[in-house]
Amino acid sequence: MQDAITQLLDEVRARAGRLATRDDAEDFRIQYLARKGRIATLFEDMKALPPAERPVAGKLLNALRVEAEGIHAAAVASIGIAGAAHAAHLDLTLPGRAMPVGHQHIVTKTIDEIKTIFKAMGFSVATGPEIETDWYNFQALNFPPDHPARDMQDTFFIDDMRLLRTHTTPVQIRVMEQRTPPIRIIMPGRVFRNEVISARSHVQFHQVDGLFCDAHVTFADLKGTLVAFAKRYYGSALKYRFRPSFFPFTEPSAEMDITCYLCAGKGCRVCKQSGWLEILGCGMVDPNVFRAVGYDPDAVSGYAFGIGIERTAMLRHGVDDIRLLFENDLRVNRQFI
Amino acid sequence: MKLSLHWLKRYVDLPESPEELDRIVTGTGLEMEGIEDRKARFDGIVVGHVVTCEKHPKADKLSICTVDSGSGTATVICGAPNVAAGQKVPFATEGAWMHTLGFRIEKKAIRGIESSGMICSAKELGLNDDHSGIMVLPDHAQTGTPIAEHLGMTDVIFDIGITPNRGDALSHVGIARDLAAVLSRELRIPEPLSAATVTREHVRVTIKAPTLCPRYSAAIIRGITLGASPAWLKNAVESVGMRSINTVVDITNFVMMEIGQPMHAFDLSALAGPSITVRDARPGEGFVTLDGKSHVLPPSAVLICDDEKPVAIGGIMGGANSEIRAGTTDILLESAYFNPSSIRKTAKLLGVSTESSYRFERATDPERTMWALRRAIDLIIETSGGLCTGTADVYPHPDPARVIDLRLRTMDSLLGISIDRVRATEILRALGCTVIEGVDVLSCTAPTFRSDLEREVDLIEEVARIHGYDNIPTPARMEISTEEQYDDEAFLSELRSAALSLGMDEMVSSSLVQHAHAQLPGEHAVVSVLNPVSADRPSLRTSLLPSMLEAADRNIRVGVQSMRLFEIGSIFSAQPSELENPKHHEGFQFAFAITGLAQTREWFGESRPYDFFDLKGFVHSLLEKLRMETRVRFSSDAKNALSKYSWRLKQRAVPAVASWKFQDTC
Ligand SMILES: [Zn+2]
Repeated sequence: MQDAITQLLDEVRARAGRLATRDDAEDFRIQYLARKGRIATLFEDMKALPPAERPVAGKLLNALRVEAEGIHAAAVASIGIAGAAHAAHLDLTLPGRAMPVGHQHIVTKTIDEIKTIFKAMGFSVATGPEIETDWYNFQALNFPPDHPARDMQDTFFIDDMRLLRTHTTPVQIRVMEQRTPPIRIIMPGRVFRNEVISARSHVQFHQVDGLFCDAHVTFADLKGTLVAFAKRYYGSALKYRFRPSFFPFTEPSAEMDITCYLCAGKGCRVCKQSGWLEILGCGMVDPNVFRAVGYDPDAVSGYAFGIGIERTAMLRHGVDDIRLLFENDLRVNRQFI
Repeated sequence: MKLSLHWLKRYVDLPESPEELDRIVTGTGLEMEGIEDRKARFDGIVVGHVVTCEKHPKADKLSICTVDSGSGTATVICGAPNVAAGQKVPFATEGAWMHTLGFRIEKKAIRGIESSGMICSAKELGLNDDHSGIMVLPDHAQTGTPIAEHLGMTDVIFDIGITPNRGDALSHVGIARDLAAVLSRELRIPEPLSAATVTREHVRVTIKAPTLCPRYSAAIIRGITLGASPAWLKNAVESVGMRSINTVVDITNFVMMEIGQPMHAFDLSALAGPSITVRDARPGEGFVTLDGKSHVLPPSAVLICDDEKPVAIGGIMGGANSEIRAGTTDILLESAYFNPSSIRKTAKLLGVSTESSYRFERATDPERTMWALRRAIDLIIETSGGLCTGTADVYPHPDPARVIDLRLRTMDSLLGISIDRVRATEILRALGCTVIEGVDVLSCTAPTFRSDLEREVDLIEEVARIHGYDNIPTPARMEISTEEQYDDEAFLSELRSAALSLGMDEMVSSSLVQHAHAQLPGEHAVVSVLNPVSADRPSLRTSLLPSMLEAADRNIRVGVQSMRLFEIGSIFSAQPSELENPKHHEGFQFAFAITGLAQTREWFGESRPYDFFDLKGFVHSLLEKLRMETRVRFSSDAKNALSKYSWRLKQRAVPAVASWKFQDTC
């Protein structure tokens, strides 16, 4: 009996590697595993053994059946999937098993895109705290106390010393305090303005500020760098202009506009009929800012710029309500790939 | 600020086209926020001549007219009772858009007779409410002339945004000066006739607060007749969005909009005499302004008083007790210079912002008070009669002249372009500087109306601005940097990429949250802002999880059943002891939540909900991606902190929510 079992086990194992088709597997099943198959027959034969020998034979037979079943199951599985190519009756239109896909948020994605361009131009990335002091957020950046310039940035106060930063520009003060020129950095981060929430404005948004200071940095360098950035980001065919503006921490100050890409400069709702879109503010670092960090304004010059992320992202993706960006409706978020 | 093209043209010759003006204005750094071409409202409407006028055969009240529009005649059916042959009328030709009526003039049959055009009433032109009949023009009106031209309604109104450093630009002369400089044209400032001043009586002005009010000029005009303003004055003040009130108020507004000097007229009969004292407000002192509101004055306030009582809050608003009114014949006119930062402080504390305070806090010209006073005297006498019987001008400590040296080489090296001495001098002179030319240096005296010009760099900006930023080169090649590069956010970026690659969706939520969402059990004290926009979101988040659960909840409600969310953001907590420094802690947190089905029911298998082991597996995969050899221990401590939010998700439990702080690693 035991010999018969061992012999059959060898035979089953020998066939394991040769079950290439569905028919092979079915033949294997009928021959060994069916109710009248050869393993079942051996179980029948076992009943004729003396009772003392039955447990040993039973154990061996069970092991044989389990192994044969395993061989059959593995063969069926591999024929069903890997054999699909030559199995004409497999339905290839059935849906596949999808892998989950992660979607980056449009705000961090836009920051990453801008970072990539400036990093390629040699800029480092610096960050700073969102809770700031009046000194870093205002005074060191040449906003005197009781000056109307402070009205440009409505501020959330925590107490008389601390506030939520209204721009990422204070990071440039922190970096200049720690390092010596040349400094070439961009400063991404979240900023806060005490404004009524509407489609156009929110109490929080993001900025990427930039700073380059060294000996002999010029306004022409500023223009060259920002035009290079804009061409990479918006396309090399763009038309641009720099127009004078005012920021307390730069002098001269400018804003950079590009031709509205929605109407090609003809005037539309998005560009308020002007044909131009404002993309960033910039200027030459004010000497008072250099004095605040202990640099000699006669020995160092520099430029600074700031890009509003939400505005950039909304223009690019045709979103007209900033509130949508912070609602995290996945039906919306998953559209921006 | 609204500006009128007609008004600007008093001081400088300007191009006609609004587009060209837009380009020039924008180029000087003034932000064009809107252009309203007044004549555009009258496009297609001309002076018409009614050649014939007969009754309509089928309608008593209608007339059939033949109207000559200068470029041909048209048949028009007119319903007005006063239409007659021979009249000159405003005639809307075919194709004209009627703004007041909201339709386009088209050919149409009225009772069987074709009509092409419309004879307009004053109301249909939007001039006034008269709709009793058509508007009849004087006979000398030239047939075919555009009606806007005939009516003198050809103004263009600009809405210009003015940055806080440019107090000098808050007037027509101020803007005209910039435009004249850009266009290299002459700036014409009218010279008031000093002859209007006949000094007969003594006006006593005493300044007891010379820091808050460095200069005070005043005049007495007696025997005026207050009345409605003449058309030129009414049109001027209304064109810039102000209401025409009476001759004297309109003139003070006109002079303010002309030169930027706010003025105030007191009813002399309400004062104790021709005498003004300027003093600090006393602690707790109250005052009722002319809008009827009572104020408790802060110490920064300066009061204008007669011999008995305060009559105005200096630089902000006059008092109800001395306002001019119908029947006023004698006035005291004020033209003063107030300290900008004290006006700003006072206006803020009082919660008041007026045209006056807006200008004073941006610095007016201390040297212009007398010019403005004389200009106003001229115009008041011209429009209201009367005689100036006395003036006073007190300016105890005149500001010293600001002399600034501009080194040409410094300018070139900051701008990256060489601007020659002649050009720089021309620009600075056009802006009002007195310039003495040296070899390498221009020695400039800044004009008194430009308090923002204090340093060399301020002059460099002026030269660059007027010369034109477009004329500064944009190098096509730049040197590259060889400094070492660093990235403070490198770890966070890597973390974000890892989470995205594992199929997580990124979310970005608000830092300011409801207090209850910040005050989590077992967490630190909360940092809140003093002045929240909405009272229900005053606190800085101490964890990203409440917002994440809110977002999950919102998504479930709109039908997104399954999600894998993560967020990277800053969280804040107050230090338990107020004495500690820093008083708060700020750090980054990474949070994630998974809910719904890990697998939906498909042909290849049954559905399976996410469970704790998906979360655990995610954590391990994330750490593997980040190559972090950290041992992670999972415990159920977080459960308590979150149980209070779980109700938000209705019946659906979120089986897997977690956050951890990376402060120590990043
Ligand atoms: Zn457009």
